[in-house]
Amino acid sequence: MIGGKDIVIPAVGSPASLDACARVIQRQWPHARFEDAETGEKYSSYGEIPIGRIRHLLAYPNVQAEALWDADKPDSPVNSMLYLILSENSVTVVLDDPNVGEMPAILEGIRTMMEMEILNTDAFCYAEAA
Amino acid sequence: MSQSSAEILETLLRTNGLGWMIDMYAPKDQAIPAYLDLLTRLAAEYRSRCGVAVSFAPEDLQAEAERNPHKVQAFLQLLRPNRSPAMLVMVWRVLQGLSIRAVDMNYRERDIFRLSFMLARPGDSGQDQLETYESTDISDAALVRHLGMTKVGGKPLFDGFYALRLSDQKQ
Repeated sequence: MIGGKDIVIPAVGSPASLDACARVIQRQWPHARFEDAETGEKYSSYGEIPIGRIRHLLAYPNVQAEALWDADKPDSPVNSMLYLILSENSVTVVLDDPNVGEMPAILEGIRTMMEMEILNTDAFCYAEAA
Repeated sequence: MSQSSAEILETLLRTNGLGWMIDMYAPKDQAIPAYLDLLTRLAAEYRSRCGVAVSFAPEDLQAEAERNPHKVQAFLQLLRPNRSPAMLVMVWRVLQGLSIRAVDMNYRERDIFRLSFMLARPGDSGQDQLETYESTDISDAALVRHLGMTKVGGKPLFDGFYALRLSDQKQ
């Protein structure tokens, strides 16, 4: 199952933000698998994701969870897939239950990463301005 | 050095807001050759440390920029002709997904500077899987400002390298 909750987290809608989310997921799910939700293209690790081309990203904790979803099994475990949607001013996390398993840690990780200065603060480029 | 590689690298730098890296280099016409030389040394260092060949040729960086423009921009922002190839390998490894397990920096005025990073694959807990990178060049301290910095559960976390957002550039 999926689709219980939509968690909207304010964020700069840049590839770097989605990248940071994927890193959080990889940290909590070291064997995470990913998928472009729009094209169905699959990625066996974070390093394979062409994040610059993706705004809708699916994440599975492991290959077994991915296989269950691919088989369209109705009994897929709770929170065995995450759906990330990158928008101009937010990242939306679609999941089953925000209070189960690794999900609180993933959500906290995404929230704190989206607040990082380097994602939100412009650097002044002295040389370009000179 | 092929002309096309030089042109591609110059285009990559300028389109990522880094034209100053060329224009402020002295002599200016030696900037691109210097960066191409660094990329060649970086590829050799990567092969030596990681045992696999990874190309950092401008054509390959351009292709990666089409997939992950934010990663290539972060990487390009960290290029300097005198940057330690080992530290650039470290940056690339983090961009590809390795975790930063430890960072140590030691500085004494006009005496010593030492910066070290310890990396590991996410989920690996064994000490034998750690990769260690060290520098004694204070200019490598600039790497630190590109780190993703946060707290998780109240505990400190460095995660990822990110491009500085240039003020005239919409991200």
